[in-house]
Amino acid sequence: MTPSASTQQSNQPTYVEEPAIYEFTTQLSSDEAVTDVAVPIDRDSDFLLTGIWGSSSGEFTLNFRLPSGRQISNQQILNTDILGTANQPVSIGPPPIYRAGSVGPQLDLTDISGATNNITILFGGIRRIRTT
Amino acid sequence: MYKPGNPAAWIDPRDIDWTQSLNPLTNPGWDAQNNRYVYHCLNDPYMLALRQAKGVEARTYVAPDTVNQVIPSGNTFDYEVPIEPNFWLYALAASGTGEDFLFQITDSVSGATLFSQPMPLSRMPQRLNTSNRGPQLFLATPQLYVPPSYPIVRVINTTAFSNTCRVTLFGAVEYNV
Repeated sequence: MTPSASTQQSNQPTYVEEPAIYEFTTQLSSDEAVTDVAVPIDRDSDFLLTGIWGSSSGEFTLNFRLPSGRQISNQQILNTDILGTANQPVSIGPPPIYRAGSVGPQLDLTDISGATNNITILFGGIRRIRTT
Repeated sequence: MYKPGNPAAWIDPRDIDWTQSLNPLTNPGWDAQNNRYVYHCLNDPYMLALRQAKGVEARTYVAPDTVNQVIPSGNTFDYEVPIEPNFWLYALAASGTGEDFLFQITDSVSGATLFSQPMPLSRMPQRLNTSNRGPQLFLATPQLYVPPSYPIVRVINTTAFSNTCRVTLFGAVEYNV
């Protein structure tokens, strides 16, 4: 957004927006389930989540929390239904804004592959840094 | 970035609202040259309003619930999706154990069905060797479920085996956050 030249808005905080990707990696053992795993957000900038993608060595299900604390889904979602590709991330819209220094999209993960599962989830979006 | 539909025209990237996750211009896979259908879905007037709305929050629902996802051969299962009020459905995904199944989404009050006949899993994006485009099937315009209406997801296992059948609804709820 181009800052307005009016004096009325000159006291408004200004921000710089830049692309950002938070990468989350973990390893689940067979049928392991974990809950509320934090994906910490940088302390200097808010994060606006626009899409997610990832890869894994086996099937798993997941759910995550929105900034309000509510979970995005009524139950855990199969990885192939919610994780897109780098070319075509699954859009999360309207995009949630995670505040700077927050725990981010806390993840619930459950392995359903029956084997050790190496999981990578990427949260793509925009980092908003306050400059004044 | 070139203007969709007119490669000769140039769109200044600074004119694009990159904070809108459902803006087709933010994703090259969705531009009018690459995926005209999704491009127009996301530019539908109601979708435009939803993209810019205040007090709405992203929400997904998985149907059926986990304990009922394995459907015996030849069986039909109806799942009343426990949505929050004023749910806007804008995209779908479906998956299973590899075998095909049929599914349908019906409005509980009007009885209107999303598909004219039950939709096979094999016609969903993931099953069409288009996984590089992501799993979401976008609707041409978002479907609003106003109370007491809610979606009913019907899954039909037409195979000779028990089959996991799963439909994921992507949408947003009106929630003053």
